[in-house]
Amino acid sequence: MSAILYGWLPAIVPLVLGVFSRSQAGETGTLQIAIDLRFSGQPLVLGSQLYHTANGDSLYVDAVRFYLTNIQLRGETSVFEEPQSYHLIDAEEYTSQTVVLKNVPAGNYKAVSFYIGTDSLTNVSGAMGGDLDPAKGMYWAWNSGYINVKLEGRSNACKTLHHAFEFHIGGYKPPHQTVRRVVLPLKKICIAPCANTAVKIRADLEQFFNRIQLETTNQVMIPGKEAVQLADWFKEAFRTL
Amino acid sequence: MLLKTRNPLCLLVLFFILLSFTGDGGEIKFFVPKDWPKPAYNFSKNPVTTAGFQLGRQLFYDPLLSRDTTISCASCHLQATGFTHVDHRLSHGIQGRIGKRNSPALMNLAWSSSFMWDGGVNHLDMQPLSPVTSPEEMDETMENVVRKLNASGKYRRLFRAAFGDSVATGQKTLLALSQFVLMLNSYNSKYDKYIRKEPGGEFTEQELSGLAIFRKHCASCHAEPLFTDGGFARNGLPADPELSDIGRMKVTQNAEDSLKFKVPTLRNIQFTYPYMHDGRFKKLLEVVNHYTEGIQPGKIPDARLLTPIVLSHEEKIDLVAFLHTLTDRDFLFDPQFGFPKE
Repeated sequence: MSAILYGWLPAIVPLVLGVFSRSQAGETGTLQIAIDLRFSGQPLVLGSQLYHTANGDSLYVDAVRFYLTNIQLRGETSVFEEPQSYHLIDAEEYTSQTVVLKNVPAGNYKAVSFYIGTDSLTNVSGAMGGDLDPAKGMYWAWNSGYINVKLEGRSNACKTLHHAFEFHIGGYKPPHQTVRRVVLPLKKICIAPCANTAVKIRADLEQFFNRIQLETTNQVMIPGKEAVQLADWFKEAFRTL
Repeated sequence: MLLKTRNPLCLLVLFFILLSFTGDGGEIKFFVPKDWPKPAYNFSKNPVTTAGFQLGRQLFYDPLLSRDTTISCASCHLQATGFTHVDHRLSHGIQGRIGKRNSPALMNLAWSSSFMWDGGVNHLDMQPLSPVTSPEEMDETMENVVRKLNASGKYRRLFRAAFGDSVATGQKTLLALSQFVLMLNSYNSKYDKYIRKEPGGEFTEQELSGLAIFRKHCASCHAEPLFTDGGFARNGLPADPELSDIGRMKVTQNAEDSLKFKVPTLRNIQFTYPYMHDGRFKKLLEVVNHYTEGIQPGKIPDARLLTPIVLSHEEKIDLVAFLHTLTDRDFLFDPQFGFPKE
């Protein structure tokens, strides 16, 4: 226990100081993060493009929506946390696929971290606004909580109505939490004062579908063990280039 | 200061003019009745205002919330019966579709931290999503409700008054509905007057006997002053084979929660019939008879029901007489909670 506690200290102290001193300096820039949705390395096309997985499944993808939250940039001596960091990424909405971090203190950053999904506090705090608005269709009415990831499509492997598969991955209560942290290295990026820098985060859905067999796994729409497993696999799709 | 006057009469007239603008409602303010516990609802995130309450009230009574504009919240939650659907075991929603459970009475909701018979909803703000999106109830999406609200001049005015911005969102719609239902508080029954030693609270011998029986056999779940402990219990009712409703287990996926349902408040119970989660009992005496004689052997009920409750017929009648003292006519007939005139 103490090893865990003290192990954090060397990391946290400079981070806290770093954030403080830099925000005092007031030299900030902007970072654009583009979420690059792909399948087998190709740009994702919804509805009409047949994709193949390593497991022998062939499928169409009809909908991809997920929450990307709590974005942090890690520098050599500092960490930047985006305030109110809740973004609904939607394959159908191109504008949702670029996240702009504003007022990032100037400096070098070597890693980006974020969560796929929403933290438990957000799930129990009542009606929220913006991308967390329940009217966005990413909230379960019958068993309160956010749907962290929605993946829908069709495959002949699915013996379901219209061969549909539907994955609504969510759940915030132990032991079935589905929020996942992703930490990705950045090729050292430098945020210069008043400059606009860009990075790309690629999400290749093949990485997710290679891990499942659609004949047996095709409808997961409640919190539970299966959702936990799918959340682990979905997080594997994310890479920086 | 635009209205410069030294005439107190002018000010008085002005005061009454302003008062008349608040309509049949007057100013809306949430308060905690004396000696009641602290509410569970976090008012700092959604303070109740008169304009927010009135918007919520319009929404509550508006069938716009349903897909084909036929069903409002009030369709299954009528004020005069404690905001439940009287006489219906199971409520009917859009196109006459029948749900699985008896619509719950709505009152004193600020003190509740989970909602629905199975506790599946974790916050009052999120509760309306269930009936709005349920195919058996309103069969609508919040996205479409928001679209309809934004197309309405009336609602754009009401949203501006309540939130300073005429654009309706899912969040603001839910917050306004919360503000309305948060005010549906019942604390003026004969029982309350008895506890506060107020005129009108004089209990008869029969009611006093009923209260003693209640406190001995019922209050461990139906705790005063809310007449619920807010928990979930297996009350020994056999599951209806046609509904096969497993209760709270559906939400928690935990076999221990099989057939557990929320302990409902007993306030205004005289008018909230039929009773139980599936509305199987029409009369209060049937409910009492269930707890004294109806608990199924072999179906393990809540630990608090393991010791058999033995009551004579007279004692049962006394208990029912006491339950009638929980009727709060001020609440059931308060015009502020009724169908909005405008």
